Amino acid sequence: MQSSGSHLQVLIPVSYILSAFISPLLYKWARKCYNVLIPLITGAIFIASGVLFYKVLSSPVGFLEYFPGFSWSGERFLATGQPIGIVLRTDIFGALLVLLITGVGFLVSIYSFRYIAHEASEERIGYYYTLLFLMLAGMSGVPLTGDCFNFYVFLEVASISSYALVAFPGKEQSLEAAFKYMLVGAIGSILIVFAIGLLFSATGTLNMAYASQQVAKIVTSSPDSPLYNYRHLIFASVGLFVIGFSIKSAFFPAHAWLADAHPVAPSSISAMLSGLMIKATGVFLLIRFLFTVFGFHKGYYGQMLTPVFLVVAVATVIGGSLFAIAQTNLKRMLAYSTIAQMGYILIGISLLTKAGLEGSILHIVNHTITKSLLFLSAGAIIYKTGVKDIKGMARMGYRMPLTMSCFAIGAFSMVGLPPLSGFMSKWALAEASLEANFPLLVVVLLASSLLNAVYYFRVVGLAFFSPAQQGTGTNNSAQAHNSASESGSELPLTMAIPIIVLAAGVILVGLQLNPIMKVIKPAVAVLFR
Amino acid sequence: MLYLISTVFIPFVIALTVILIGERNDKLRNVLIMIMPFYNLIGFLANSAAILAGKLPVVTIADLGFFTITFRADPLALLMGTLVTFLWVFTSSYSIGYMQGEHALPRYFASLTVCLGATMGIILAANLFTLFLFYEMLGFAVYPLVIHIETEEAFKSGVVYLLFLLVGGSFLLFGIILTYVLTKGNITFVPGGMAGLADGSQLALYSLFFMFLIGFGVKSAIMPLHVWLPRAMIAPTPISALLHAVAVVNMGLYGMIRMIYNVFGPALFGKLHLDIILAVPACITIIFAAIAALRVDKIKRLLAYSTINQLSYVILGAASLHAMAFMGALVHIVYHSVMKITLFYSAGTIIKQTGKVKIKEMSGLAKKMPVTCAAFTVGALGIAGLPPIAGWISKWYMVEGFLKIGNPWLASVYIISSIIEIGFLTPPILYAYFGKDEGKHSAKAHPADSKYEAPLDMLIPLAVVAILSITFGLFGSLPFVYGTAAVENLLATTVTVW
Amino acid sequence: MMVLTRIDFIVSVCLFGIGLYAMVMEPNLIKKLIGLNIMETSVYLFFIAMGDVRLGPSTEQWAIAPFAQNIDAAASGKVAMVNPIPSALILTAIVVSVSVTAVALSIAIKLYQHYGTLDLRKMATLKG
Repeated sequence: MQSSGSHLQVLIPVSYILSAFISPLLYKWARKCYNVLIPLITGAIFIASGVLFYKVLSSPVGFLEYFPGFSWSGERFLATGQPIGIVLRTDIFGALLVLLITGVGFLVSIYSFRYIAHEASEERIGYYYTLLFLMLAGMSGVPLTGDCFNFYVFLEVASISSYALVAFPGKEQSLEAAFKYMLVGAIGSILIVFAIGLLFSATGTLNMAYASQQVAKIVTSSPDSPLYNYRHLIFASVGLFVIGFSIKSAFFPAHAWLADAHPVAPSSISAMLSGLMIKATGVFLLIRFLFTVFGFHKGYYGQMLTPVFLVVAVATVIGGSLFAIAQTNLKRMLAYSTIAQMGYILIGISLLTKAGLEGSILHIVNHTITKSLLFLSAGAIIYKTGVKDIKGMARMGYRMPLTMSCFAIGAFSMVGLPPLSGFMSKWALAEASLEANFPLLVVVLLASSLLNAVYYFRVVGLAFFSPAQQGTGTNNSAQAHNSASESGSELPLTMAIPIIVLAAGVILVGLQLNPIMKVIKPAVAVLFR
Repeated sequence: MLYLISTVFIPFVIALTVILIGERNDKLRNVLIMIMPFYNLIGFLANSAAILAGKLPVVTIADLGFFTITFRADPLALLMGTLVTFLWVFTSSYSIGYMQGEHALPRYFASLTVCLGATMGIILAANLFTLFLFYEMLGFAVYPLVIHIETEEAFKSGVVYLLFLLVGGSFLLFGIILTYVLTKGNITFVPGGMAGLADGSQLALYSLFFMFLIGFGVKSAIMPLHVWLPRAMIAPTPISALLHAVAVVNMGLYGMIRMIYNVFGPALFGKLHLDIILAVPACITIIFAAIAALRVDKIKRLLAYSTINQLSYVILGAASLHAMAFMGALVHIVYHSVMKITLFYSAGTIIKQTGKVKIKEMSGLAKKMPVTCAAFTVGALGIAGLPPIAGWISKWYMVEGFLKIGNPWLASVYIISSIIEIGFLTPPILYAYFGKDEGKHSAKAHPADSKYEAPLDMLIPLAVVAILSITFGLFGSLPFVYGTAAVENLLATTVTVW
Repeated sequence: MMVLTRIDFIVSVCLFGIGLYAMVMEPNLIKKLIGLNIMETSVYLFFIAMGDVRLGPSTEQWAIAPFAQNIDAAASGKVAMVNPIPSALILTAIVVSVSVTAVALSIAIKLYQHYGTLDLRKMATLKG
């Protein structure tokens, strides 16, 4: 095997890390061009990830393998065929996720200038970007790597900086939410390390590709083979991985932390956390381990996972939607909606079929774009009017027509109105569950769409169709704030552009599904290999 | 065909323009609103020969991955399209008169125009998904119109409306997904039914029918899915007319017909005995809606129950799978629309000019509003099925069709219902012509107390549709020409009607 | 289950349980963090114990899969070297856990400044 990798696989996370440390210095020495330099950096990385994505797509095997550093002997493999050292192995799905991460990261980095100056204080922007870049470095590293411990390090880099970012505004609420988030996140991380240890002790390697071969050997071994004894380790490892990633992706019993942490974070960070973090560190890794490493689709383990996952997924979907209806705070409602959407993704995974996984990945793409859009719009509303409650949204459509239109597009996509992107992924999931003979899942999908409609239409309805006399006067603090900043255009350009771009993305993904499916289908094929 | 497709999308452009114009230029807006339906009507009339000859191509405008947005025009589309665009001309002009001086007019007219585009989309849809897309769009575009007056009650009705819309949409979507899986992704409408459906299991096919029944049943107001329709009466009268006569319920019927003839196909539909299964709720709706109408005291509510009653006539006729009855059903859509729009416009004129909403308050109104009351009488008698006004012909066809397939009990449902209809449609007329004027007027009374008759831009559409109701009954052949073509296309038989 | 025959594995699972208990049940922020560190320690112990090769892979009381070893040495049961990879991993894991603890402690200090207490029950401003 020849090293087919691209240096970009290393450069993307490394350049994020470097810019993280340069950021406060730049802010100190080059404050005037800071607003230009940061988007330049993130934009350049975005372009780089686009190039990487293209390279991965055009590679014949569907992935790139890059060996960083050097080996003394020049050998990359032991005599037994076991790879030595860390390998960065990026498949199509990983590259797609990196593209999303760097893309949303680019938009959020533009959005944050004005927003963070409003939420925290202007002097701390330099440090904010340090943390943001560290988080981006961690998140983009996870899908790029092919090593079990390496992904854990990236995951922790992302997690730790996200704890700090949730606490960034420094208010009581954000500190408390950050602490809770950190406790739950740490439990999840420890379970994952434990699982890595078990996997290592069973297979003797940290290389995912090689480990998957050994796992196949172990789980298919006959009872009289010495390898048979290692099956227990594999099962325990699967269990711990599943629990760990479920905590990270906020599946049902372990969902509470998300509803606390995501709403109180600055809105730009809420968008990153809800849009990307739980996917890069949760669902992505779940898919990576279930399929690439443990080979669940090959039927080694029978059907033991599907019923458990389906119960969890349905509970997550319905529970998340019901909790969202009960919320009074807009961002908290969005956070519960995220939980419900994670349930959709889990439905697609738990079917263990190609069609289901395609639906899940499509939903990951959609939800990333849509939820980022919704959180950024919610942030824009807070920035401009100070309104955080759903009640205060009355007639917001007339005060901030652009923002609310984009919000409405996102909301409609979440509800699943055709031809927006959310409809397409729900269609894919519904079709996959019918094909897998689970017609009741379609009922769950449709029922939860109705529940989504209840809470999203309430917001959109209040914003556009509420009586004129009620909208004013009920929210005093909002009024006071509003009068202060009413002058001028609706939003600063740096905040409006990311929102518009994301809204256009929501529509485009719906209308241009064919090119996207042309990426997702081979991505799933690589995962199912 | 490009012209016809433009009738789907130009309304959206116009709607955007209307919003951008805002309150600044009322005249320009009114001109745009008036031109739009004419443009569409000309599209259908100019292409009618080509459509009847089956010469228009199928055009795919977008490929959305799982499905395409595809348009084509068949005779049924021609029939509905001509009807809808023709009546839309009156809706537009009546709206402009009726809504003068109301609030939020840009929103109102933009929604109205989006409704037009969505309706065109439904009519021209060549596959289930395209139909669903525009069907839902129509549903959402009606919402701002339903809550237009923005009172507490209006918002409550709006919630009920949305609830039914979304639940119906979900069932419809489930049905479409099921069809998609059963037919392996080929959901294009074909005369005679979609290939591959016949291979599905009985359970799958019956649940498919059930999904479609609820999905389209909401808009065609099959009991007990009719609840939203009387509630939506809270909307301004032109919108009630739009809901009842022009677009919304007709699209429910259209979907129903497409489901019977293009999704299942007559052969499979009959083989599964779905015709009988569908006849049961339709008969129940006919009788119960008529009985419910007897107990209603508001004019518009009365008309709402009458609509529910009449819609199931059409469903029954279409479900019979007999050429004669199906023809009667198609023509009945046309006649019912014309007559119901007459009724709503006269009721709306009465409400707008005198503020009277109850039947009893109509006492002695005929002297003050002779034209309006005459129009109301024409519409009411026509709905009840009195010759020579239009309604009786289509009913006659349906009854004859039922007798020919040996179902006299279906014919008897028609007879019973017609008798009850006379029972609830005559009181307003009797009150208007023979009741005593009590001299009590509500707050909305016109300043010049003795002259109630409406301004010309409302009166002319009213008079025209009333005259149409009569002329259709005497010598209107266009619905029959189009209807014959549609029946021949969908049932694959030759029909001789004259 | 062969895991139960290794005392070091049992101890590490016990430590994990103790740490989890402290983390979930203790209301005091610092005690929660101590619990977190105990949990992390249990993982270190597990990894380090895994690298132990005194008993060799061919016996019942294995430590690590034979794939990782030199196959010839493993066959003869003469593996003389402790597997270095777990130790290296644990060095990294320690760094990670130290940084988690550092961030957590700094948040705890901030919380103490705001509320004047370290009891999580007394600061609940977040609604369920």
